Amino acid sequence: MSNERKSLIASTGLRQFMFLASHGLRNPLTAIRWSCGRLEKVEEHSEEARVYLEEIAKNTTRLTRILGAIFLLSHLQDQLQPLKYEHLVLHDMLKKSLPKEESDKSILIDGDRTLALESDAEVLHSLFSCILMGCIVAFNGYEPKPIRVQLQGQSDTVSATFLAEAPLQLLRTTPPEKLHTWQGANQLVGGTTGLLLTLSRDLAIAMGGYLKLQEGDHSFTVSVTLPKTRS
Amino acid sequence: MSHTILIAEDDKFLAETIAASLQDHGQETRIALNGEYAIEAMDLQQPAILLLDLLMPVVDGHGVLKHYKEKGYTFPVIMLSNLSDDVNKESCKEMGAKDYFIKSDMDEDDLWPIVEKYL
Repeated sequence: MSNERKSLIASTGLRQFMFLASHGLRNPLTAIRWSCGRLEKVEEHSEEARVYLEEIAKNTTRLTRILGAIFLLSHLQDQLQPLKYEHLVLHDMLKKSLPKEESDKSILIDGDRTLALESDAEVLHSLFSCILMGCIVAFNGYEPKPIRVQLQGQSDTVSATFLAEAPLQLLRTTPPEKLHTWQGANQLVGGTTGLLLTLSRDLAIAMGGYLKLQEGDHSFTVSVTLPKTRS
Repeated sequence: MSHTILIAEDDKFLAETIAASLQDHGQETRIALNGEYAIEAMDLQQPAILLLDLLMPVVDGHGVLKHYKEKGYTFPVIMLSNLSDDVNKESCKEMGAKDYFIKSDMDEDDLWPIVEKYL
């Protein structure tokens, strides 16, 4: 491949990523900024003030985790940080990855609760956090529903399939961007789930695995498959 | 003077925050959490202003604008989105939106002068 073509692909990829990142980062910032504004208008120590403070805390965590994932991915992709393998139990990692600020959302985990793999705890935690935050955001504005996760083990891989009972947010880009097209999905994917799922996808790849997105009727599933042992 | 402002925004918290802000200025508000609900709401009763998000499930902001144009509505539509690309800005204005703002670049003190301008 010529250097010009490599350069074009790199700059296109960066542009696509910046498009997603700008939106994905702006959304929690919007909640923080507007909450701060409302705090000035409501009575101190009131229930309203508590709600706004919670929203600030929740979105600050969200921003911290997104930025953490971006930097982690950058280090992994530039090979500045090798994977640190240890024995991890998928069920336990899932429970730890749900932010405490989202504790009103529950995770219902089916499948083998002893399912384990050899992998990097920090990267796996970041991967699950991104998926859970992406699915959780999809519920926003709708009746809160638990996130269902199905754990499965195959001979040399493990998988976790997240079912979100909410429609995918649609993003029309002109022209359709490859970054937004997912295996199994017929529609363009974007919005607040886009950045988080893009980060999840790339973190899964960095771990030697892959991510699949499938759309259903007013629902979607995100499946992450990872190798059981280091390759 | 009180007017009815329709807020089409799928982020329930943000929609309610915008509504609270406008209510502080004596306005009535209605919230639509997706584009389909926004279309139903504006067909039922045309608002004085529509504050419209772009990225919404079921029907997105583009879909709402398409309906707005097809029906020949004339109430002002103000886009509130966190998508900052020129393609979206231009296409929204071509479909009839009066203005386009980036949500994270503003707060409620910025919103009221904008709404007041178009009322």
